[in-house]
Amino acid sequence: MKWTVLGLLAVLALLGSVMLGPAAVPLTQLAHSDIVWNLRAPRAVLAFLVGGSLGVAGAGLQALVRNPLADPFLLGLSGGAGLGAVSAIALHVSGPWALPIAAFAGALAALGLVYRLGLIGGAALDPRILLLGGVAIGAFAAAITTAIVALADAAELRNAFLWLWGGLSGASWDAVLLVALYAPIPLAVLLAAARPLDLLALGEESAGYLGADVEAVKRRVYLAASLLTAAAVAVSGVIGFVGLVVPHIARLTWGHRHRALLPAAFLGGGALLAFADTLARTVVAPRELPVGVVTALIGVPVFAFLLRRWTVA
Amino acid sequence: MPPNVEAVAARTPDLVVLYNAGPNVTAAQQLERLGIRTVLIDLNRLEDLGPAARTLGRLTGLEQRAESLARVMDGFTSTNLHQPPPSSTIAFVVWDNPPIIIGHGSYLDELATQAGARNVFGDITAPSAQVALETIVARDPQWIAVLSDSAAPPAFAKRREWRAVPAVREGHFLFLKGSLFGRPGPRSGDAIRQFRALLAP
Repeated sequence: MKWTVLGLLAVLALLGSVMLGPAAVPLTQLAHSDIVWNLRAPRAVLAFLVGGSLGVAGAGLQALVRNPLADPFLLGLSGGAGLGAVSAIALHVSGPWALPIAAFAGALAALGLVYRLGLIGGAALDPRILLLGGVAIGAFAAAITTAIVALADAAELRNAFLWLWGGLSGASWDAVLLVALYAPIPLAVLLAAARPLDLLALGEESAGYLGADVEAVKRRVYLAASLLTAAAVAVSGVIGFVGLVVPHIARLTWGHRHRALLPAAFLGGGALLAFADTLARTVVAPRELPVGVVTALIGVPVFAFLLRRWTVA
Repeated sequence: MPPNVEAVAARTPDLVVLYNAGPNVTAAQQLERLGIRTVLIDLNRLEDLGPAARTLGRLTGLEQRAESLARVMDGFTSTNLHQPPPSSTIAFVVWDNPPIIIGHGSYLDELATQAGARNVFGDITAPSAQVALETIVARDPQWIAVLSDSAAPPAFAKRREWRAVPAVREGHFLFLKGSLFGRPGPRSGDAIRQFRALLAP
């Protein structure tokens, strides 16, 4: 029953995203409208894929670091992506895909640095160091980004921040195809790690006794979740709260078993972002809100509710 | 960015002219406290030009010349400065992802009106705003205006989603040089004339 409801919510969010928009397209012309086929439909699908990816990445990282506040963007990826994008603009790198590629490269560089920091104590990846390293690398990258913006003579730089705040304006079938081809690999890695992630909740030592290859699982989950997040930030900027809130909501219904939790987080994240993007495009039309603003407006009250539940419990 | 007040003060200027915006207000107060005469000037729209010229004339003791210049610049906003050509529709795109356009009452919107064009986002009462790409498609401007010193189509013109905009697909771009169109100034009359020439068939 709960899977049927979630599936229905996901379909409704996708359909709503395709049917509703600032331009008036009559229902009878939906199937033939260029606006619907070339703009709304790829945007809806991309929102769903990005939201789903962030939901799964968040669930995986929260299990890995055993911290309910873990968010995919806490690991320095947003700072790295921002530095990549701003550097590309400051260096006048041109081309239609210049910004997403530069952001992806920046996120990968941050991922590499944080991963290296995570191994600082030896061969074992320490989740606490990962979190601290992520915060430190993110802050360092943000500081360099601010310095470039302050010193460079390019008015466009301030717009890079708009892009980084998150949005799906750049959605196209090309971007959908790219994410659809790329995301299944890290998603499959995370799904395959569902059982060891359940065991990790018992502690690393217990998980090891129960047969999990703890070090390999930690590396795979961290890299897969980070690669998913890097792709998401490259095509849509930094969209907060999806990766933080969706796993918690999914846990309320599906419990802590990752075999069910991860697919639920994918469908829930996809539905939430598609819904939020529809609101972003329509509530202040003809203007548009950054979708990150909408996810935060939805996410913060939900998060406050969850915090209250935990406190009472 | 706010000015480096210490560096400005070190040059002991007789007068400091600052654009009237956020951090400059604090800088002006700090400079005044150091005994340096400072003035904040609003320079966002065509109608700000005349008052700005008069203020500067008064502060520099060149009132007559400033008044002469101000009268010419006051004329930029008069609709009978030129005979308007047939109305064209236009969208100013200042950024592509997310799409940021120019709304009503901004300097570029005024230039378009003076040049005989209609800004398709003239109903948005903000100098600039983020819009959905499908809104630009639905409003179907004849021209996409971009601030650019080069006549090469902007990078976004190659992106598949932007090619849903008919004017982008057909290459109907107006390239407005930043030095002439970027801000109001004594050459705003030239900007209006050049704008009209670009729109002429």
